[in-house]
Amino acid sequence: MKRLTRLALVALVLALGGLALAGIWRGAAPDPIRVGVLHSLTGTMAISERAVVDATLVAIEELNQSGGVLGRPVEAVVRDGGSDWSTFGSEAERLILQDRVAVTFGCWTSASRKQVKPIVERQRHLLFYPLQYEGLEQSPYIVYTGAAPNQQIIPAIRWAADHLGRRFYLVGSDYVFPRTANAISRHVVEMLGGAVVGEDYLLLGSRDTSPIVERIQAARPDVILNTINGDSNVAFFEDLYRVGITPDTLPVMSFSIAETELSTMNRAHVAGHYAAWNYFQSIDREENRAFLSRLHDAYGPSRVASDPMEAAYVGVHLWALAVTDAQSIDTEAVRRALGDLSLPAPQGVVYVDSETQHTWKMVRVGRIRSDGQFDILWESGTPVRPAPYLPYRSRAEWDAFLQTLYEGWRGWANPGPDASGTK
Amino acid sequence: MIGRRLSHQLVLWFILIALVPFAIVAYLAYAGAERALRSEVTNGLFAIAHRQVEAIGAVVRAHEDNVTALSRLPAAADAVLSLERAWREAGPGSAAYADVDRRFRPLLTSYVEAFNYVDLALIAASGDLVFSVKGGDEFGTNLKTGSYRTTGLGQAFERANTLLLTEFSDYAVYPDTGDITAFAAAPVLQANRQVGVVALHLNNDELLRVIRDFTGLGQTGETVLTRIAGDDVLFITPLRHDLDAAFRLKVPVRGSQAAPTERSALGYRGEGLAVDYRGEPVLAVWRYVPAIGAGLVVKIDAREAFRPIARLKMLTFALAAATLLVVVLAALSVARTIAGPVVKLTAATARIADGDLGRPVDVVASNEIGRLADSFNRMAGQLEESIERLKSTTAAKERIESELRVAHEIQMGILPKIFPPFPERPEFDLHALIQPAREVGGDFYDFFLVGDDELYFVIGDVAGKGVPASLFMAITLTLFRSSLVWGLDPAALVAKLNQHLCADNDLALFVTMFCGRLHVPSGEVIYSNGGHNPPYALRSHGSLEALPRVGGPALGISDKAQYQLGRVTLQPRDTLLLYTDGVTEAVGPGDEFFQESRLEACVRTAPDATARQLVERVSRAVAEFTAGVAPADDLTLLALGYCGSQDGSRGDGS
Repeated sequence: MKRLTRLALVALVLALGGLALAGIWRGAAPDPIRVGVLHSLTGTMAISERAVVDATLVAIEELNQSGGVLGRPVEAVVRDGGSDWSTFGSEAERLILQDRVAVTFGCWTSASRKQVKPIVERQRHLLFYPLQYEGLEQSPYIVYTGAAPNQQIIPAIRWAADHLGRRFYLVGSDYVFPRTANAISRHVVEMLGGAVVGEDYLLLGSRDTSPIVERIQAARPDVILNTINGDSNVAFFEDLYRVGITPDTLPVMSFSIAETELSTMNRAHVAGHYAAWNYFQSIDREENRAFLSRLHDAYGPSRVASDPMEAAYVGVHLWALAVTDAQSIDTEAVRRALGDLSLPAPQGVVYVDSETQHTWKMVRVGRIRSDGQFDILWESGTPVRPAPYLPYRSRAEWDAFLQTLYEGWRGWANPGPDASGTK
Repeated sequence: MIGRRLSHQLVLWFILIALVPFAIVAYLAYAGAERALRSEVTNGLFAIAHRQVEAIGAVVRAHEDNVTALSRLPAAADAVLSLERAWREAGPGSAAYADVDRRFRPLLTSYVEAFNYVDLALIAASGDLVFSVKGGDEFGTNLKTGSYRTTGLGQAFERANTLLLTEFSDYAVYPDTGDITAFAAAPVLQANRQVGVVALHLNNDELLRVIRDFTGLGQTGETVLTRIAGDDVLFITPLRHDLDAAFRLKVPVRGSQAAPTERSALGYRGEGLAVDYRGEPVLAVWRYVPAIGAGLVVKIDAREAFRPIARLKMLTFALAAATLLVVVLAALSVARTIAGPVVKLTAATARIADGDLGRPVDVVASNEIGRLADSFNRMAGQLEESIERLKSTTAAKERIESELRVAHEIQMGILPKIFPPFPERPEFDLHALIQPAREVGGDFYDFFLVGDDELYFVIGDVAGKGVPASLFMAITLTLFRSSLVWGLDPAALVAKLNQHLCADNDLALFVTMFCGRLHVPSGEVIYSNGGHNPPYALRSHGSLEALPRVGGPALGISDKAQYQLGRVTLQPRDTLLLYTDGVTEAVGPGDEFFQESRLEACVRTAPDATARQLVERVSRAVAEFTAGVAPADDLTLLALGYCGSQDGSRGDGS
């Protein structure tokens, strides 16, 4: 009897303890960390930005598969910027104030980023921006995981000057990135003793590229430096092809055409031309193979990877590492932890420069193959330090340059003759 | 035995009560301290890693700034262009080149000396190295195509020339000097046009100073720089524990479970416990340093880092041992103070159980045990007293009992016990039996042959029992015997006895009595009944009749009582049965009396029995009826069988 009583007591204590533990366990079921994903799912940029959203979600899924961040699952809130810059602003505000996301991964065009920048700065919210861009910017609340101009434009022009010729024709979409990139390109071409024989812009989303092609034919450059964004490129290359311009006669060095865009273009029109990026899908690295297999697991084996996708993927992982190091999702704590953070990314080691909040990255030049992939012709060997402000002009001069553009457009892109439309 | 078990239990409980909380607290404190110390050491390593990264960054930045400033001097562009032209047009050995060289050499040499560089090189945009302060083997080669392409100098030139910004080479062994060094290079511009590159050959002192700064790293800590070189992790600086390790020590890349030296070189940032190149467990913090393309590990031997914890562990164990000792001693002492008296008490109870009450329990304690011992001693004392009292009482009782036994023997001695009493007289057959309820009874019987023909017989029952009744019975019997001499008939005899008994009868005792006299030759019985149960006459032909109640009241009540004389004639083989109420009032099962009916039934079935047989038959029947219940009253039977006169008439009848 006595033994029976003691046994019953022990059992009772164990049962109560188990219940209490189970209660704690259940009580501790963690809230998800909400993160914003802000890209154009519609409009002219959707073709490029949807792929970036996919890569961002793959990275988030990868985090969740390995137990989340700080033991909490990560939940993506995806918002559509609609290729409209003011929409980017309002959606960013909605993500921060309404969805209460911890961080936002988003923006492609500089126009959209410039729209979102004052908002994240006012709200002290962190934006991971995955695109190569024109530089001339440094915000404490933006982490730039894409290339600064010295990580893409300069080596590309250098390589073109050494291998293709020194007479350059600059073509771009009419918004802040191509304008600034071309301003930098002019400096670089000058340094290299080359010449800019023409500079032309077309409105974002415009397909009216034949006048430009005609002017290019007249100027007879050695190389075209192409900063056209979005599906205008389809028309542009089609026109080039139509008039008989081939990579042999007049190569194009593009700064905004990657595997994603190539998959929607006529390969015959683009094969043999060049592009400069930090990442190509064809990179032979263990980390890249892992990235591609995750991408293919999620979206099928025909899905291609591109530089902005890789930068977005790396951005999510950098954020997760910083949160883990900081043991907090607080913006300031995460920012502190981001400084000096590095990881072996698909493209090579990526390192967050604590001074500029840009990343050290590898630089590569590739030639488009007929299968929509790139042959890598040159790479920097080690990561290149980001230099958002190039020393060709003073910082004040660069800022004034941007200000002039902004005032001319009343925004960050040429609104076009129909100025009542998109800003 | 009990004492040992008690003290064992006490020690066990003490240890449980004292050591379990101690162990929990010690474990929590230890775990907390370990966590705190580890986090503190790690934070220290973080700070040192940060300091080292900053210091390396500062070194790199300082040289980059130097070379940038140099590249922007108009003299730099002038020098590159002039030297390149002279080198190309006249050749490096020409007088024209020597002229140009003389123009620029003093400035550039003084610059190198002023800023403590090893060398300074000017490279044309084409890659031709057109000038160096030292004029070593690299002079005159082409850095794009020549053998120095793969050196740090070639790398620095290539990067500066391609990226058009100031760049820094990785640290490497420079073939000419054999030292481990890096180069800083910047594009040289003239009128916004790049004309060449200026490169500075660094003194590696600064980097070594950074690496050898062991501040905060104790006796074993150090900073390690590594780079991935093919399939190996290459150590690029001297190690604290291996001064010749730089560019000599290689560890194969392992992939998973890699050491911090590999992980940092691969681009990971992190911290944790690891095993270093010596196989020593270390606490490490690691970083990637992109400026020099290397991984940086700041580490300290776990043994040193956790030394305070080891001390704490020792202290905890020592404290636990001391606590254990104190607890055991305290437990033993408590066990002695509690268990000791209990053991003594136990021994004392055992003694008392064996009957030894004399020795008190010797326990001096102020607690409950002491009080228990006091009560115990008091109890033992009272027990002893009681036993003494009991002994004397028992002695008194025994004396009385022995006296009563004597009285009983005397009483029984008074009654005639020899049967048949008159063997020489075949005319009658007499048998009697008395069974006293207590040691001394109040019943009696007697018979006496007066002359040859007169047989007096009597049966009586004194009211009450015990000594007074037996004395009264003795008096009655004595009076009866002494009165026989008078030759009185039974009625006169009873009346005379009554008068004697009434005199001085202070105790108000009385006696019932049946007295009869058989005239032997005729069989005639005259009798007088003083309040007694009437006897039965069992006739030879089988009929049974109770003698008519002729006489008077019980004797001893009133001296004025009159007694009549009854008369009955016995035929040969008739039998008279006399009895006391001990027969008819014998109690059987269910508190039922034996009663006259049962007596009559018992007697009626034995018409031919002798006196002895009849008495024994009745007494057996009563014994069966009472079934072992102790008799409440004396039981007396007397049977008188008449056999006829001496001439043998009894024989005629049978």
